[in-house]
Amino acid sequence: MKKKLCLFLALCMTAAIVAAGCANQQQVQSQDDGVMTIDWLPQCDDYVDKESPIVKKYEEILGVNINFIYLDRNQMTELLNMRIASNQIPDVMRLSKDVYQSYLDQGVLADYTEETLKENAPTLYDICKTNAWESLWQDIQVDGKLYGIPTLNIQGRYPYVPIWRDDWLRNVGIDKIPETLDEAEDAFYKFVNNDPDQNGEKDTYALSSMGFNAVYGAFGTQEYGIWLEQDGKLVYTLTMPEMKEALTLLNKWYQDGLIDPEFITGENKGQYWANSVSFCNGRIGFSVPGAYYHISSEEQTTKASNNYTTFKDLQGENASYTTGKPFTGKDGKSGTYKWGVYNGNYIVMGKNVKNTEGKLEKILQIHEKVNSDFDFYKLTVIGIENEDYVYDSATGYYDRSLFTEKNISEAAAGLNTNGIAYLQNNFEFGESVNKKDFDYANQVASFDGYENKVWAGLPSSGQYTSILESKAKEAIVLFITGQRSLEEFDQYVEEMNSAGLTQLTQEANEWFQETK
Amino acid sequence: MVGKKTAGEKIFTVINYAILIFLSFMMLFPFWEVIKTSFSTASEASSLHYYFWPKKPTWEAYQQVFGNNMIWSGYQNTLIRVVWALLIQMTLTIFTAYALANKKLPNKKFWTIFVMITKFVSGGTVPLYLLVKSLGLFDNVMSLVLPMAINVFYLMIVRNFFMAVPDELEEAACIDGAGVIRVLVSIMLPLSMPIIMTLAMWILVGNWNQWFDCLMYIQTPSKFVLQTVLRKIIIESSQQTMDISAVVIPGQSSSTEAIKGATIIVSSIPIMCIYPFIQKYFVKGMLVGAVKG
Amino acid sequence: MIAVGREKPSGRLKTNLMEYKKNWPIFLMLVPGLVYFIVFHYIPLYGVTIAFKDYKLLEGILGSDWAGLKYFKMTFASNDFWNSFKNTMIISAMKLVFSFPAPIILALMLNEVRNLRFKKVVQTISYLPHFLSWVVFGGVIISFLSPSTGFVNLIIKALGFEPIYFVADNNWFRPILVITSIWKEIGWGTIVYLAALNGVDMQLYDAATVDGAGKWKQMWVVTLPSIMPAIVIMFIFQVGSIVNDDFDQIFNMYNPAVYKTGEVISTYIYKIGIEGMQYSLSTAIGLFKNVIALILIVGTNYLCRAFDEYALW
Repeated sequence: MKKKLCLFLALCMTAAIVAAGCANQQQVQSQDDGVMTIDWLPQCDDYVDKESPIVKKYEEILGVNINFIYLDRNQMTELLNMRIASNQIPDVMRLSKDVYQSYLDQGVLADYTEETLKENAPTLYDICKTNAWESLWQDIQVDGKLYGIPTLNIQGRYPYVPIWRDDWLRNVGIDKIPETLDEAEDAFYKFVNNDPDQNGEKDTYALSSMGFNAVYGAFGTQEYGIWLEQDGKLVYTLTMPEMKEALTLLNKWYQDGLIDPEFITGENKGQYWANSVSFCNGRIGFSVPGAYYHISSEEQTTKASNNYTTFKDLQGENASYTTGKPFTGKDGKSGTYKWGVYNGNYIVMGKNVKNTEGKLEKILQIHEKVNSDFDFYKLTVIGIENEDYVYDSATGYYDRSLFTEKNISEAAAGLNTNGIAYLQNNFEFGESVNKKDFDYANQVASFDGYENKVWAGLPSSGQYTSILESKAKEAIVLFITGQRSLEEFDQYVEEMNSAGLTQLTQEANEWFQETK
Repeated sequence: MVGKKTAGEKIFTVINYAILIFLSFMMLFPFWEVIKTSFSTASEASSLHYYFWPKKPTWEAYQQVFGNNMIWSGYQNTLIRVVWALLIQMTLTIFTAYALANKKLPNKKFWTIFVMITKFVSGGTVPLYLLVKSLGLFDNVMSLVLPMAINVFYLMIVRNFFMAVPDELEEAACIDGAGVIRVLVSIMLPLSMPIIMTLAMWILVGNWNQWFDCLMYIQTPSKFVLQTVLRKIIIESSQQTMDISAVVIPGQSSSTEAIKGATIIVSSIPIMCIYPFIQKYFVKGMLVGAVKG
Repeated sequence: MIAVGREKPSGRLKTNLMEYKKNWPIFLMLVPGLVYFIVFHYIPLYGVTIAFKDYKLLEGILGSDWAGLKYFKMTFASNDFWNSFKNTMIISAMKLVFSFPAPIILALMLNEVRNLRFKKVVQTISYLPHFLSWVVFGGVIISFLSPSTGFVNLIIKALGFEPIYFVADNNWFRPILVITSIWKEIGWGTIVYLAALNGVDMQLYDAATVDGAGKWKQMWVVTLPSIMPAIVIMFIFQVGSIVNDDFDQIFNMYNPAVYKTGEVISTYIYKIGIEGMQYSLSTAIGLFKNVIALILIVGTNYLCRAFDEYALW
């Protein structure tokens, strides 16, 4: 018995060593059929099934093998860094502006000339060069060379949309959606004091953290750390004097009980960032949860938003909300946050593409095809007709519910912006396949928004940005709740400046003068 | 042993039971919340009013989790990993712990410190990644098992338990002419069964819950372990729409909260089924707990 | 030992070799472990130099340029770092005082339970929360403590007091961290003590009973001393990890209102950890932390050795 045990332990050890040894003889399968293989790093939530019909189609049309790499979305940079450290650089990647800047400095990216782009991707080149892109074009050139093409985000045109409980407004005797800050304030007080949900209890608030966005907008600032233009110079929203005014008002509202005191732990209660749990539960009557598709119903966009379905489920069919415009402040300022068309993502190529003759050109041609060939665009973005979508020629709407119903892992295959169609800078295409959504967006989100004027990565932004934002978040919460007196606002600005804001402001303005 | 209880002891027993029952409810509460949420619809999971059980319980989250074509391979890969881990990590830990506990080991103090140092200086993830790559372990289950083969903390605890075994027993065996392995197997292990089982539990759960090493070293999705697959499912469901992208493609409708709950249930149930078998080694009655010398 | 030390070096080496020759089977058992530590811990150790370098991905750790003490200076010059360091130490110290003894007490309580089934059930239930991730557990706690809808505040309000916004209150946040960490890990932590309790010799209890020792006295005289070795080693490791913090717990439970008391080293690194720089900076901070941990562990070990033979070395 005991001998057997000894033997068993010894066997285990041997097995371990053998197993480790076997692993050394890793089979390296390289398809050497003369067809070029492109290592493509999509940003899908799922790995791409190489056998899926869509991928087969891509490969057939493009005449290349596409090797989709799967990296966990939330750990992307860390995993990518490790791959690069071991020289496994993907051929095609999408990088955010700070990572782009860092990789560029470290020589990870492949460079090419304006001529190469013009030859292989004429449509894309034209879009880049002509469509009000002149300043951007200057920015992406480094010593006369190109390293990446910025993606343009068609949705970034639309600011966040404010929503009001119109039934509550009626219950407190207001007939129209408030348009100015004063009207809004009046409605807010009534939301708290006049029992808008008519349950006989004082259990409602006017707004929570997401709704602040429109308030800041009415003063000409934002709670996101972005750069705005003022008198020909760039200023940082979080320390603008207007911020103090906005905070003074919010502090007053907080004291008067207008603001849900639990705004600190977030209106989304730990869920997806644009889910307004407080609004859906009938605790507050005003919010700015996110873009138009975060508040739409089934009739309005391709798919009902979470906020809409949850709201209806929890509040009943009779409850309703409606979209409004951001209210105007005393100086006539108004607006909500918008992402902006230039969102600071770059599509780049790893330096190893240069090891294979013609690979760089081929990749540019693929980007070109997405932007110039509408059929290929549809294939890469919305899939195969009648399998993934249905086209209604009468309305010009593409119904993509077939895709929605499929299991994502079957359907993924690099669809959407995050796969082959990384660069969708030709807005005509996007507008036509999403006609239904954009019709709605144009209807509810056509007003001014605040967008970041700096779309490039500043030299020190990686180092300071998140610390600054964290400091500001803390200060804002303390100012609103009165735990910190607003008389200390100047002191707060001072803290921000010494934590790197001075440096960033200088860099931002230098950059601004250069690209103007 | 049983004897008569004094009044004080009776009160103590009652209070003890009362506290333990209260604690059990405290422990069940968060787990119940998770089970409940996993059966809730997206709307109900968002409700701020407390509910004990969803009005319209739904299997949707579980359907989505089990509908993922990687889930079963995930279970399988985790199982393989855990079996290898138990074999290799336990053997290595026990051998090393026994050697370090043995008085006859030359330079014992030096070797103990040699081992302990590794807990305080680490080269970080990048050199380890390159090492695993150069050993050719990518995509191999060994890349998950070998780098964490010995946990210094577990090692030292097992060593201390070995040290607590009376020396006379060991010496007696040595005089009988038993080799080191035989002493280990026939004397140390049976006497240290509780800590060996604790070690097994630690290794089992530790390996079961790991996901980041799999993201680093495993490049073929069909070889992903369960936790990595479950993470993927959560991420998939939480990014219901691609923000900051040119076109919105809405994802699935079921609630992320429910899926988060379901993944926890799905991943912890198997361990809970194994637990009673291990538990009997360290939760015994007082009367059978004695060492039978 | 002292006698050996006084011998000539060559003589010492000789005795040493003889020791190895005589006890080779024992040493052989150590060899696989040593190989593991050398391959997976000592070889990658060159990575520590990253703390003194401007790490470039493509040039590798060895090929990157030296940066001297740049990252240490950057760290130590920052008030934010010291604030997070202070918070880490305070939270860990609180955990050492309250969370560390908790599983010992639970194990002792379970030990007094005579009903085996009850004992098993309670023990099984108590380790369930260990399987919840902090993302989920943190969410449950936040709603549990909510001033308007949470259980705790419903009770507080029913008793006629003002509700407390626990997770957004700097006075409460740290205690909440300690309590929730006990809540989540107490059952899991008892396992090792239960294993230790199993080794207690029953004859000792009988002897104590004969001496007329009551329950309480038995616990002090028999039970505790028997599991002392386990407690000591757990304590040494716990003290050594005082510079560590639970990123997942804090990240999922804190909010801007409690940054002042809740920002710890790992969350601070998370905020500054930006491309390229993160490796050097976090390795530098890690190195600093480990030096402290080493000092603490050596110190605690020294103290423990004075009282007990079961210290680490």
